[in-house]
Amino acid sequence: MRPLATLIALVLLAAAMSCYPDQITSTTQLASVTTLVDSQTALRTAHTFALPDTIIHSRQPGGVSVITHKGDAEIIAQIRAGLVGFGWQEITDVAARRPDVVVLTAVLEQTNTGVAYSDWWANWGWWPGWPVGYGPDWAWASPVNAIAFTYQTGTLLITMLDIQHGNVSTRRVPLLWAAGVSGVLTASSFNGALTGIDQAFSQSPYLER
Amino acid sequence: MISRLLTSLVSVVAIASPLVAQEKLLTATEYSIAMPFGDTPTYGAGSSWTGAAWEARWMSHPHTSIGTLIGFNEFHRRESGTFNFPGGAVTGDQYRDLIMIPLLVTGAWYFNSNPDDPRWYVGGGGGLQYTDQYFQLGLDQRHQRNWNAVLVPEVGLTFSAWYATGGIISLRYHLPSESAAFLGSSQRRFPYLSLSLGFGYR
Repeated sequence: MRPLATLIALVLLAAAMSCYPDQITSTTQLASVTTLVDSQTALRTAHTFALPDTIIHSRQPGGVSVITHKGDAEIIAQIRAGLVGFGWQEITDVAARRPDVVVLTAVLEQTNTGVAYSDWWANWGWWPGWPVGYGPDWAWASPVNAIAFTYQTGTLLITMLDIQHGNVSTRRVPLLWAAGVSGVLTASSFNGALTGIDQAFSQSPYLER
Repeated sequence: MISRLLTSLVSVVAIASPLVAQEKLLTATEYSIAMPFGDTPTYGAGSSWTGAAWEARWMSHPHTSIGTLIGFNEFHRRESGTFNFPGGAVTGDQYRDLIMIPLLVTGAWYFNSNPDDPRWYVGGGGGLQYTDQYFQLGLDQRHQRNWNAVLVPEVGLTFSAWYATGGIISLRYHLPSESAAFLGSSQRRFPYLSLSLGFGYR
């Protein structure tokens, strides 16, 4: 009897060890908005932006998109409203005047880690605003003190690239600001993405001009 | 890892079971609450109500015992909102959890030599501690697991109840070695004070 009672107590103890009280359990609690910034001079002096109206949608082979191109215009409009609301000026004719930064948007429905993706030139190389010399062998430079974050399942990624100060020797385009709106993809994910864009600007007061 | 620990626990029981029938042995299953110190409030500033332990004491001499203890205490913290860090910020639901599982060899000195009377004691233990730090923010989940050395001084009271049963009340201070850097760039130490009440056989 004694060994049995002790064994039961130990099994209960082990069962208690295997759980995490009060842990995150619902999909809505898995949403997050992460912003990274390089708050040096280039960002502080930038005040004009270009915002290509194309959103790159990337998903794992065979996967089904939850956030489709149908919502691209609304997402772009939300980003534009955030920047203009902070006092930025949009440049639409990039051939006539090169903006300080370009804001690129992607929807990633796969697991990734970091703040950049390697195939960016294949997706964005067509944009006419890149300075002469930028090409597929260039990569994005992470912000100073950046902590890499993992975006999984579904992430709306907004990146602000400094196209005026590309490093010719290292072939890096400085990444001044990035926002990742992440969460579990559900039927309401699109509205969550729009809310997340507002939150990204809300937690980035240094973008105000 | 948990399943391996469970296997170890069952093994301990299997080995210890024949000893339970011997005289001068006190075993107790304890419920344990804890209060964080040092870097432990990183994982929960308030008291922890989740904890348990199992211990056995061989009363080798009238005033002394040697024994063994295995247990756990858990701290957790749940927050929502925006959290700033040097290169940015993140908004979401954040969950932190810290589980510590000490495996100790213990010793105690009793002020009273009669095992049928309540006996105050001072003692302590030393051994290994498994530390599991867990962090989740949104979809991002991370663990840092370490084996630490740990010293556990304690004071307490043993008492007898009805036939062949008894119990232990103990106040222990758990002082582990530092764990690897996880939340932040430096190593951290997770001491805590536990108060346990247990019943068992003697």
